[in-house]
Amino acid sequence: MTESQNKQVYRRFVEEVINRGNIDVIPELYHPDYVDHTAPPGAPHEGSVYDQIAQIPKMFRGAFPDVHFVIEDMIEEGDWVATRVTGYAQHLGRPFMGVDPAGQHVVWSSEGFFRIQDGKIIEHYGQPDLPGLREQIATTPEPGSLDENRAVVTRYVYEVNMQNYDAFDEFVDPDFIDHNPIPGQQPGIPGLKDAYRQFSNAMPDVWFTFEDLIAEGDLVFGRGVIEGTHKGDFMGIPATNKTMHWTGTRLFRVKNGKVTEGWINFDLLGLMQQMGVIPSPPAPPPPDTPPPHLMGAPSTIEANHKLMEDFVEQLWNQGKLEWAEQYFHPEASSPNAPGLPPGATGTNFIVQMMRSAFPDFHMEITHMAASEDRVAARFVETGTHNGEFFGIAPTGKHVEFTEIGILRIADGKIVESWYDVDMLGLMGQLGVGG
Amino acid sequence: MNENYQMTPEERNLGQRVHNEWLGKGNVGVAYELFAPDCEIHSGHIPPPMAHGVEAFKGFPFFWLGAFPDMQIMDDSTVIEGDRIGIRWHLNGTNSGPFLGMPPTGKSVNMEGIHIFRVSDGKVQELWMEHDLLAVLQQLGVVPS
Repeated sequence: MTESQNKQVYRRFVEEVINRGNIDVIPELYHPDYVDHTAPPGAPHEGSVYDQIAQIPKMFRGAFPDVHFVIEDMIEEGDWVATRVTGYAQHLGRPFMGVDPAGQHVVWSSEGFFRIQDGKIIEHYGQPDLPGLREQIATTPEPGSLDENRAVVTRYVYEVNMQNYDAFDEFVDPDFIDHNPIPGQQPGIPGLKDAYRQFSNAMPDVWFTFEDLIAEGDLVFGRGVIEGTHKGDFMGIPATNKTMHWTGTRLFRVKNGKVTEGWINFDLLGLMQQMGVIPSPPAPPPPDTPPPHLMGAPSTIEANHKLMEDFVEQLWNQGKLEWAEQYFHPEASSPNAPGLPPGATGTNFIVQMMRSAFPDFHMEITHMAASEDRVAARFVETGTHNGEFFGIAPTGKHVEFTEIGILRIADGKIVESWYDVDMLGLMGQLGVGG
Repeated sequence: MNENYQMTPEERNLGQRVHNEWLGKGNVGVAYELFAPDCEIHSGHIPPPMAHGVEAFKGFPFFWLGAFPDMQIMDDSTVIEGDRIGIRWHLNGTNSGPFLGMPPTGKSVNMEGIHIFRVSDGKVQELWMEHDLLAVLQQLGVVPS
């Protein structure tokens, strides 16, 4: 049975505005005379009706960057649609209802009444279970639990964002090891504080948003996006006053409520390109329709470890492209490379590109953590540059660089993947860009 | 949802009767008439042991009526499709009895909510409840607004 037009309008609101944060489609989905009868406290009253509508998903996604609504029920009669959804998220962003972020997984329900006129939402009443949501984010994790490790890492990034470096003593081990120090960084907490101060001098409004955390044992991987305005000297590059957006993935070791070691891979190459010091090659345009958010049964932590190990060994080290055909869902996407073809095609394109440029290409897993539907790993990759790479003729140089990758798994297949490769380090070793 | 379900006129009235006769008046006996014996209530506002089966939840109206004895529950909008009834409602009442262990304040409150019912065989089989408990706590002055 095909869904009615009014239900499709509501579904687009959930899938595009809430789940993807695409506020540009709001004018397509909302009537200019829209009235929200249950706007949350503190909702803005300035700006156009569309600006006001956009504030709510922005506020929500600011606190819960990976928020995902599943539509449980839609009941339609006349021009009204009554709805029931379940929300899934991690509290990784900004404070919500007065509670600081601590990385909790939350699940809550919400019901609504939407009136739709001429294919656009014109009236809304909402009943989200905010007390239930608040109770979950305000829960103190058990000492020594994975939840505590998630909370420590979330707090670390939040205090860095707030530039409250004096709080470090509460959750950073005095012998903290930064595996990716800036040049000349002193050891321990004083060196760490100094490194962040230098960074915030270059970008005073810099903000790191975790979109996902994966914790296992004493490791916590965190995938995020970073935004900041280039107002001061950065790695010798004078201020451009441009607002930059780039990705970064972090790995921490947490012991006894404190971070003891940290690694980061971030898209320094993309950052340099946005600053205009390295030319940007033309990127393929993203598809017109966004990839589907594929859901499915979770797997086991052990099975996900095995999947990551096979991904590295079978696909990358041995170049068995049929492995990707078998284990990537045909519509799998890589959100950080939206122009890449979906499924095994896109992944195998990158595998072939790397393996032809570096015929002895080899990658090793140094760290790995999994949950039931995610597996994250940090890699060290080596190879000899005996083939053309991004237009660079073979140099015969031996390279070694790092990467952090995350796979999301549903029904035993990889449905989404994210990679942060030290591309600038790699280019530097080939004698370009660095 | 079962889109092909054809509700009888009596079934179409079940949501309204749940509000008027059961929740609004506290008629415990009528619960057996309105709900299937193993009806499930899905709500963060009901303790899990009370949520399964009419025998367990039939006294739930007194959670509200005990605190707000003069309470009026009014349906604002109803949508029916297939085997589902959705009702948007509000209630008004004066806090003249204890509520959540707190002594009465004498304050009047207004709360909005949405209920979704699944109906078959002449009874409510499932009920999903959401209401703005936070607003009530704010109006009673328990939680700052």
